[in-house]
Amino acid sequence: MCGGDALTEKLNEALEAWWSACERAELRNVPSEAGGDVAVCYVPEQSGLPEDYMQRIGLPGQFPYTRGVYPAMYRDRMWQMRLYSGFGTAEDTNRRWRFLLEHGNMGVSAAFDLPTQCGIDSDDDMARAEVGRVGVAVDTLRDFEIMFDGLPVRQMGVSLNAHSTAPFVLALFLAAMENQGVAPHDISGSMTTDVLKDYVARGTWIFPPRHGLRLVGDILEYCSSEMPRFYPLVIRGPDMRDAGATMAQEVGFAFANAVAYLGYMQTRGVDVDMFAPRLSAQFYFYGHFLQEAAKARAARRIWANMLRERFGARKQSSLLLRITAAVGGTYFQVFEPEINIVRGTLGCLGGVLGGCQGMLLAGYDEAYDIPTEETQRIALRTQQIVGFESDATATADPLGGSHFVERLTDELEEAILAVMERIEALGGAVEAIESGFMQREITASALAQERSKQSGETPLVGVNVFADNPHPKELAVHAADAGASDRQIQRLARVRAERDERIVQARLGSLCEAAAGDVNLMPPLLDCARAGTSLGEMVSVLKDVFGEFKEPAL
Amino acid sequence: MMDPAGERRIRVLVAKLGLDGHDRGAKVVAHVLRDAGMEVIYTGLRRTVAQVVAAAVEEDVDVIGLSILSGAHLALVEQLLRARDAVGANEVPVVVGGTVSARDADRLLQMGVAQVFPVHSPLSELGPRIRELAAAAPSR
Repeated sequence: MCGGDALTEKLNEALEAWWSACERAELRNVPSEAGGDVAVCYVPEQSGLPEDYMQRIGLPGQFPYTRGVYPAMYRDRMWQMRLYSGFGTAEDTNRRWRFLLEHGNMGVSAAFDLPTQCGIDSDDDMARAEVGRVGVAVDTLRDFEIMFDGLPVRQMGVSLNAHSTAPFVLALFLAAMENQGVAPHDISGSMTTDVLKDYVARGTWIFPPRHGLRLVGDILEYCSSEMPRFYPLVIRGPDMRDAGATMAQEVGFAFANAVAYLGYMQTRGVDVDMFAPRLSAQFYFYGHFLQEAAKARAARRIWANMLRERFGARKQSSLLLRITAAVGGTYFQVFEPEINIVRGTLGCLGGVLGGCQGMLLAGYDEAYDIPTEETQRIALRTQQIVGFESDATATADPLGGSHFVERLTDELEEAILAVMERIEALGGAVEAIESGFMQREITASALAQERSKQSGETPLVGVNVFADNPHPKELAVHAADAGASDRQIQRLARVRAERDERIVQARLGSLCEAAAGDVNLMPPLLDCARAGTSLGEMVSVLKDVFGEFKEPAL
Repeated sequence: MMDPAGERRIRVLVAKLGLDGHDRGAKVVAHVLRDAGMEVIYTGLRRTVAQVVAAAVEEDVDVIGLSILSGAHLALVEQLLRARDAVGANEVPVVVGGTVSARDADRLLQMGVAQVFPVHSPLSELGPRIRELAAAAPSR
């Protein structure tokens, strides 16, 4: 049934509103290959449109944001092109970041080593052989001072990949920035903070989930008043995919976790519009790039409806979901690694056609090495070519109206909602995690995928099909540079020697008291950080109060 | 626990040593071995060498499987083999799975590891191979 005159009128009104929302002065010109210019957005012929066209699809920058979060999308600004890096010591990271900023990277994304991610210090027994290996080591504020030395922090985006240790990493970072004269409200960027996915898929959990939630709440409240330019919580899907999840599980479980955060903030009496505008999501974009784009469209539609109907959000910025695309991960292969450049391009296209706001694209050596400057440069150039040379960015939501993509948007939305409903029925994300339900579902998908790859049902070029080169790249084991590890341990010892131990103990005492109560822990954590307290020391105190997470059975 | 053929079920410990949090491979292997009729005890993440050896003894396992993807394997495996021998369990074969290079696989075998299963080792071969290793070990 077509919508008739009522729909035509609605669409026309929406088009007027949409056009005035476009910042016309900022729009770049794109000549069309067919003569004339490419329109900023294309809409279908109005006769024959389904009745619910405006509610389900509509226009970019308008509820439910299926077609994109901004009216003109990439016609007035590109997505943020970023790379994931950080390894060894703070000095190594500082050097790499200076290189990347000089080459057009718009911000920095900090990866931390495993001890830092797990909340232990570099001189701990468990940290041996891991210090600075998969990311940069952070023990005290001194590490952040060195990492950001000489960098234009106020002009760049700073992304901190901290999850369960987010509160501690943030405290150390802010204390270091204070010493460099940069205030919290000057800082733009983001922090992952999504602790629930650590229990489900990442393995870097610390405290029981309920306490993890409390810490997330403390960060959200703190940042909503002190860090208006910062995105303090990124709802993450990639870790689920790495663990074996399907696309529907990636978004479904990530959103179930989001429901837990949103519900928790409600119980704390925080108005959703106070912090929802600074929430965003990160998803993988792999080889099925058309469906990945449909996934992003479905995710935005679900989010908008959920925030408005279920959580009562009213601000537009609460309803629109900004998405960062991650490309690489388990998609890139060790056989003929240079062809991962092509995979990177496909993933990039998926993210751009899906309307993402930022992208992390891995180096082609992702599967077996820490990226070199060369592989990172190519990854950045890939984004630049797709963004500036191709016409993927010429118009908003170029795939809108495609029979395939519109149908997949609807079907993925259904599949994602079904996953979310299963979690609801179990009592929510925390219950689903404590019982091991989410973990088991993902393992089942992982097993199915492994069988499918081994049987050849899932083709992987150069791996199980067209595989003429039987020599995979050897995993480059970057044994933790023993020298770097020693230097890090020495730096930690020096900070401990130079700090006022009585103040540190007093601050840890206050932290302990605060943790047992229900005050926001960011201020006492900041006090600890300023005094030279280490990450491990802060986490230790909280382990005493909160206990540690116990994994459910397989 | 007896399996349908009336034989004692093979008991396998699947362990994660060190800080690495990636358990996808370990869990997939655990399921495959269970489907093959074995008792699988999964240690969970972040175990120390001492904890793994203690679990192996307590659970009276026939094979110890280590899942390591962080590249820190050589040192950890060496420590584990020594700790295993120190408690008199030197007859329990140790296998290692994960992102192990061919060169490191050789070194692990020289150290005394019974077999290395690199990432994407055929799933169909896991059960039979573990069975062979368990059968070859001196009976206890």
